[in-house]
Amino acid sequence: MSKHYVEVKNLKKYFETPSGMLHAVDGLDLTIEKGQTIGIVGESGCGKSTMGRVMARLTDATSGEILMNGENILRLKGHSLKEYRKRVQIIFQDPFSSLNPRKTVYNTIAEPLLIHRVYPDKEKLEAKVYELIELVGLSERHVNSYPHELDGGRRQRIGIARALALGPEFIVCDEPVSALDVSIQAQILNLLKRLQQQFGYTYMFITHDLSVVKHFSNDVLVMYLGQMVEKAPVRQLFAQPRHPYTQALLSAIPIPSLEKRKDRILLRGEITSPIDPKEACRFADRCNQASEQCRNSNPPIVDLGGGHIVRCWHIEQNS
Amino acid sequence: MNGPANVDIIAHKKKRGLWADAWLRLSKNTTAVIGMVMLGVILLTCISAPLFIDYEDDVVKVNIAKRLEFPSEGKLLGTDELGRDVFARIIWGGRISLFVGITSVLIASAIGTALGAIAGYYGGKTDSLIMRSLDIFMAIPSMLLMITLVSIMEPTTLNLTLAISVGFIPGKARLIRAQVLKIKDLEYIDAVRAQGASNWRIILTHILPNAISPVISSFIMSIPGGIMTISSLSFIGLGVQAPNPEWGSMLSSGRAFIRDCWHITAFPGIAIVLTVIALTLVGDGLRDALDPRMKD
Amino acid sequence: MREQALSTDPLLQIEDLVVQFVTSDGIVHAINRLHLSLNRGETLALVGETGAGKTTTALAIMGLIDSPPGRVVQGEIIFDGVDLLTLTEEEYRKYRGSKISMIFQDPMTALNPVLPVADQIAETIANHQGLSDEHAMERAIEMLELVRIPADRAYEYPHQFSGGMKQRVVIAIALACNPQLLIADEPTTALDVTIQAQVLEMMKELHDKLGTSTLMITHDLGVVAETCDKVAIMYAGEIIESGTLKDVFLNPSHPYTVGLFGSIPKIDEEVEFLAQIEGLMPDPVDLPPGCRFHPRCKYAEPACAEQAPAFTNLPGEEHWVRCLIYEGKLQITELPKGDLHNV
Repeated sequence: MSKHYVEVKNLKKYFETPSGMLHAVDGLDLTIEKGQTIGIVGESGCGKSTMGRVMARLTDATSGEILMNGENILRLKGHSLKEYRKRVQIIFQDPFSSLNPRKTVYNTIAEPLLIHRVYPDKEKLEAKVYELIELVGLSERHVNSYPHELDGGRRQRIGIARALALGPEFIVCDEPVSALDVSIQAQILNLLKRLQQQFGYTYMFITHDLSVVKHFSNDVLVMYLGQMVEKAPVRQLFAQPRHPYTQALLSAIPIPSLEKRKDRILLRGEITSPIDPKEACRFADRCNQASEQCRNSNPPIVDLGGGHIVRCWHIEQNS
Repeated sequence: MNGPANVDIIAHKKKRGLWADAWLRLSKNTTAVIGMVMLGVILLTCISAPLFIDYEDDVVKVNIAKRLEFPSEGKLLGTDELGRDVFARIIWGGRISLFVGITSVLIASAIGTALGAIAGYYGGKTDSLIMRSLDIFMAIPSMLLMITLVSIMEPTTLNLTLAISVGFIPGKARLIRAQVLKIKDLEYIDAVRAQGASNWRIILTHILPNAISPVISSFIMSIPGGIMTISSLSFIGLGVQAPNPEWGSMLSSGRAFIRDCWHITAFPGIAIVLTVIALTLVGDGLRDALDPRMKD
Repeated sequence: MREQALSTDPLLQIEDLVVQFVTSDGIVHAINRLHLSLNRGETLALVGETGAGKTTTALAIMGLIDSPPGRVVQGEIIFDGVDLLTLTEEEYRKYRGSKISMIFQDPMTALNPVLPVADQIAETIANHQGLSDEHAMERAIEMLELVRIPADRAYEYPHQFSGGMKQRVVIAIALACNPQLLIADEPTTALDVTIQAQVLEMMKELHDKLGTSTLMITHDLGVVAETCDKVAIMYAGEIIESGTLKDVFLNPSHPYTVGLFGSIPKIDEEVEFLAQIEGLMPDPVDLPPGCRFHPRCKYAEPACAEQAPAFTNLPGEEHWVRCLIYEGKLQITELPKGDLHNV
């Protein structure tokens, strides 16, 4: 039996395209403890959303395992898969397209309860829906509204209520606040945190926004082109980023303060293709520390202790 | 979108159901309203026909003495070559034309929707199998197909309706399939899958309700085609059989007298034209009203 | 080299602008008595959330508001001495692209997919500067190099470029005729963080080289700090606080501004819960009376619903704010900026 709550082992997800095999997730390993939040961070194309979708069993993996309490959830089928759905839920990024435009707030939230026949009694069902509505900070008067009548923040709350309906343990949050205004973002982040404190949820928090991930996570995993490049407890990652990509990513964030940053690292070029990648460090083309070794062989994963690991050839040299 | 300015406008729409919203827009469209009125009159007249027209006396009874009379008192649109009341026959014929036209498209829409939804949702081999089979039907010129089917069967109204519906099935299936393909990749479908919904639940309660709008206006727009088909078949003698009236067969039998008694062909012809116009106006208006992008 | 300012008059001065949209749900009050001024060579940030009216302001300056349903009810937009609102469409066209240029948020849809990128730049040059096709093309390739796109890619099509490069092409088109004013509407919001850094760096370089005055519309206070000289905070169609970067960042005074700064998770700070502003931006069809922010404001008192606040000058370089607190009309004991962390 694994001693971790969730263990991802060598997870791979490839997509076939006309130009070749797209390595969306390429050999990801990670562990998650109960009640914690793991932040998965990266830019577009890094595979973080795909990871979240595989976790929520919306897509099948190409190979690898995901163990939850020791059980490989990728093999679940039929009835046990349906039971899994009660434990693992997902909140989506786009509050516009993640709700059925023809269903009212009530129906959207009630649906998971109906699918699993949790409350055969109609009154109890109604009571539960109202309970959820209140829990996420929505007003009762919206119960019969349609999504297009409400703003992004409220729609996202509906999405959260829906995800909580079945009483999950683990919630994949796929960029839950990226499409929201700053002041609404704060409201939703606070809500998610409060809910975690109240119910002990484990979150997989996927985002491209490093400031949000810092605020919200216990551990952070940085992804680039389908691979983990660095993983560490949150404070450690921000205090001592070791991978050149992590360093560049951190230095790229515009800070709302007057102190001008002195040494901003600007990356060369654009992200390379995830199709049929060569045997090399995938970041080599853009890295200003890249050497021959980096271009010809896959870098090892170096364990720096205290839960901090990095995939890079140049770790000893960095101070 | 009306331009980037809309991005800044949060339109807090008053509470209105989605259908009520569409109805409102439809009622503001003048040509659609004209079409609806015309269609209403036509339908009402045809449905209530048994109340003021007697099948035996007015529609079927031959009265050679009074043949080929022009419109006069008592005979609104005159009599035909067998002395029958043209007006009564047009209305009665309308019942049949409309029944066949509407029902054939209805049946085709139902079957086409089912096939298209399954093909679109499951994809892969299922999709290929269904769509290629339908392609075979589409490859045969429709009139040829109609004629073939009709000659094999007894020309009852029901058989005619079924035969005509076959021609419409591929088109409806394609339409729904295209919609389903668009919708099935949307996030709210993912959300419901993540909740453990079965495929049937997803197709019936999530995808179809959102895919249905283009099918509704396509349905109305296809009815003229159904009417024209039954009229064409009757014109060449394969459709509705004598003595039952039908606009197409009335056109056909009136041909011989067209020089002097143009009223025998003209009035059924006008009936066809007016019905088709009414249906087209309503169909157009419906398509615009149901299109969520054409707001304000 | 940066040009010397020709005069000390502001390049752009918006006075008392009111823009409305007539819709079936009522009149949308998109812009409500806006005052804004931008000096030559300056970069002014127009900051606000969705629905504040920032894009509408940009479109008003460009004369691109669809009318109907939009209408400019009153006000002046004075650009280099000329009130743009008095121009005919033909006259306006001579301004757009050559004296005032705009770049939009989404680089994916801003470029014509069937024309090579150099052609799209050359088109605007030929249009406004009457150069021959050859000369226009030469200029176009120069512009591409200015935005760091190598000349050998000049004849490629937009779909062959990545998002960041497309945005650079868009910038090249906008700057091709060396406009006096560049309006940038969330130019980097759709880009990845590392690409955003590249593009912002490039925009700063161009600004230094060409001296173009810029109106930068954004919701990201970090971008503001990096690229702008002055800031104007917009809420429900009006400016509620404005000043130099120092004024507003060191001394945010309006409760909304303070709330905005408090809502952002900061890299260098750790808080358990972010300071959140309750409620939502008001419905522009149904704006609250008096101060538009009062229903959401912690400090609101009955007077806030009755009077629209006037502009109050604050100590600082050019700092002013619209809030009854600073008119001395409220009875609070502690100024907003002391109150940044709240649950």
